[in-house]
Amino acid sequence: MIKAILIFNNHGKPRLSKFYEHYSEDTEQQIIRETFHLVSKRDENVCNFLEGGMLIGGSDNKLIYRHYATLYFVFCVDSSESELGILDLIQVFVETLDKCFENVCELDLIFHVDKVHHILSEMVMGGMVLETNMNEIITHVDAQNKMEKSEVRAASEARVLSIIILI
Amino acid sequence: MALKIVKGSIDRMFDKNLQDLVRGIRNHKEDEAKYISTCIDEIKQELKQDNIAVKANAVCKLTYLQMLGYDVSWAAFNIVEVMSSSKFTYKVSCSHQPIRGERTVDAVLITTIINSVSLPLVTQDLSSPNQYDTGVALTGLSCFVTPDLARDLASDIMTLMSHTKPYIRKKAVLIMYKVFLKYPESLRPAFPRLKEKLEDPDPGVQSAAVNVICELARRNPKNYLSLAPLFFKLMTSSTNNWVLIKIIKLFGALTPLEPRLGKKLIEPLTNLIHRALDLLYGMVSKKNLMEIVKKLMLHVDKAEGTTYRDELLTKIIDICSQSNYQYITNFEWYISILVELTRLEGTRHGHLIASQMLDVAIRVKAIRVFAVAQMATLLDNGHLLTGNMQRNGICEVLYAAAWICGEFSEHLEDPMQTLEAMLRPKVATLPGHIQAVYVQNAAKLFATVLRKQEGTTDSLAAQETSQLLIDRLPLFVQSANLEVQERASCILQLVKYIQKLQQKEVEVAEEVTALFAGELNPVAPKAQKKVPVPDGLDLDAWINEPPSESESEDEKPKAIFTKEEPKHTRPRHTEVDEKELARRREARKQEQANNPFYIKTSPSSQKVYQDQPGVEHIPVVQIDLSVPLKVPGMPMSDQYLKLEEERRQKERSERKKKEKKKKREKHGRGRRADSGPESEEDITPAHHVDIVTEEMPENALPSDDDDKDPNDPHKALDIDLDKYV
Repeated sequence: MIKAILIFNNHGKPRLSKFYEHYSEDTEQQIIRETFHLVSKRDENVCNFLEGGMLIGGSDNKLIYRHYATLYFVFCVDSSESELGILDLIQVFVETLDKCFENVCELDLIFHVDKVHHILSEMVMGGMVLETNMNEIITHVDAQNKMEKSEVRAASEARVLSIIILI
Repeated sequence: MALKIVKGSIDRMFDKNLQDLVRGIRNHKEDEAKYISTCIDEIKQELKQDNIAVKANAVCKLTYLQMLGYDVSWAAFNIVEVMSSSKFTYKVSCSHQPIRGERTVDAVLITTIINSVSLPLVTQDLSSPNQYDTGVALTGLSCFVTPDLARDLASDIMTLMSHTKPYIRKKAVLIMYKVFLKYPESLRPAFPRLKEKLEDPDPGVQSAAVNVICELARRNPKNYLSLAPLFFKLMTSSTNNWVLIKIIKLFGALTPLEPRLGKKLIEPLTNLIHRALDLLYGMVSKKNLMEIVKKLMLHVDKAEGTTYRDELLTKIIDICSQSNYQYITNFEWYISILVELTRLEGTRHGHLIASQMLDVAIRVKAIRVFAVAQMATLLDNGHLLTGNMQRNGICEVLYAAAWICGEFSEHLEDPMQTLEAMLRPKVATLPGHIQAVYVQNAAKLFATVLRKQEGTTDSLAAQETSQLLIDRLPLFVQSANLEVQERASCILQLVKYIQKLQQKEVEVAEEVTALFAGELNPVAPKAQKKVPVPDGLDLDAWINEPPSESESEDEKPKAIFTKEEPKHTRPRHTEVDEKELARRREARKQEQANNPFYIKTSPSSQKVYQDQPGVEHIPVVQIDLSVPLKVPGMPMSDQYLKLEEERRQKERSERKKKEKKKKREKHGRGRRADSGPESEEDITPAHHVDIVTEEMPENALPSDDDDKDPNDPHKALDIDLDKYV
């Protein structure tokens, strides 16, 4: 099971935080800070797996992270997940983001965090891996985007129409 | 009225959406907290509006603020309200919001709200024709499912597990796990359907089902033992790596409960290990070679099965020697690795290690000193290795050790000691070809020793050395092996001659050394082809007169003009044959009876052959391979092979015996390729491969010291599922 998925930048500012277990907001923030602390002092050429901090469940849980440019992608998992598998999943996630945002950068994640949540929910649900095939994920995300767009268009048309009628 | 609406619309145009919020926060770095509290007030205003779009926007912003650490639980009702909207867009914004309902005093209130309001909403969504509506509902549900919700929605979700769209099925299956956690009684009725999903045509649904069952089985493994065969089938047929990983982890949890499972798993797991080992080839580089080999050596130590060990051994050597040893930076390290490998008992690849040692010692001049020292130690401790006498066993290493010490004896610290070690009586128990090498190299060492001793004008020592050889060599002269005999006799005579010379105070060291002068360099494999043909030599010309034309001419006309003759001659031939045969048999028997040197077959065994027309009623002993034959020291593969051979010898006639002899010769001359595949197919290793047990530490045991809520339901989920399967 995946306990949490965190994305934060080199200074520790959270860009995405998704917890699959209940923690209070304070605890969540502490977890983010603690994870950042653990991950940021790792060298570039050491292993990508380390034990979770005390708050997130201690030595039973592992942190699997990857560092891309200015962002750290961290998955906190328990022992039922394979480390290499999760590492691959992180890669799939980032590639999907890249496809959906066209050369994704940190700003995209900052301003469109809802879209990122959206994509993530196609991959991991309730702490378990839902889909690992990038094409499948993108198909569903695109279809849902289309639905949203058509609804938004219809809604704005309706609004304009109502204003015109009033006037 | 109209004005109000217009004013409202205009107001709405100035509402901040998520991006504006983010931008605003970034622009207010100094007074961020103040700015955010302003925004929260605005959001509260927006939530009071009737317009659902506005509310949805507000909820979106709340999600963002929650990530920054602000408590948004006060908005729970509003979030649920937005969820009720029929527009997909708005629902989506809520599905990421984990609605907290379990901590505060308001928890009861919020939970009630959620339960009462969500239930009809979610049910409505779940039955929506649009698959994404349902999908969103399921995603949201996974965030905030409560025991009551779980109870009420369990049957609906179970129905969804058989939805036409695989997208829905996948999500429904995955969410069942959360439902089980909150409402354990739902496991019983849902389980048969979950089991069906393991064989769903869509791979996504299948992996979701595997996921859920693996999670459940981690906590209560014994309930899922009955599913083991099904999982085994999945493991061997699936190509999805995630599924494979999960199933293997599951087996890791199950195997301690069912030891037979472990044995059955050996085969597919060995295939996986082979695949993984093959990957090592590509992975190796100068830097990581030593670490990789170190890890592999650890495995070799831990591994108990001889086949697995041999695999590792082969792999280690292959990796190290690939591309002409390009990845080895330190040959001393490599030699010590090879020496460590000699400690392996029961390996079938002794010759491989031996050939590596030879290769390295010959081609890497700088390492010869070190190599020779190591080899001398090996020879000294040769008695430890002589326990294993079989072909290609570890005693082959002594072959290499002896040769290296002999050829590069100038680097030896104490040639006398090594010479003495080579001529110990125990050496005579080694296989013939090794003894031959020992004898030959003893002679080379003798030369070196003489050179050393004569230089110091210590003629007595030199004579003692000669005497030592004369004392010890006769044992080898009497050896059953021809090669050993010949070499030993030659050298014995030589030494006797040298001794006579020594007694006359003649210096012989120079001449003896001259016997072994020159270096033996390795020959390239294509060298033979590259030998230039000398001028004037025509390889295609006949050396002798070609056979005469007359015979061929005679046959052709016969074939052309006399087609019918063969037909006539055939029946005649058979008649003649029978009579002829009988006559010849009699003549032969007469001759054999008169021949004093002919060994007759004993009449009893002849009777046995004559009595049994066929081989059908020779009882075939079925060896139960599920119980490994434990023979200490000797690998089973050879024993089994010998058993087979003995049986075949008894059963077949002389003609087949000859074929078998030919086969055995091939085995003898041939390399590991022949014996390898046979043993791997027919033989079960003495102990099963350890890879499964390595997974053991991660397997599931109900964690008694875990006091988090979600884990209590796992004890409640501990039911016997076999009744419902």
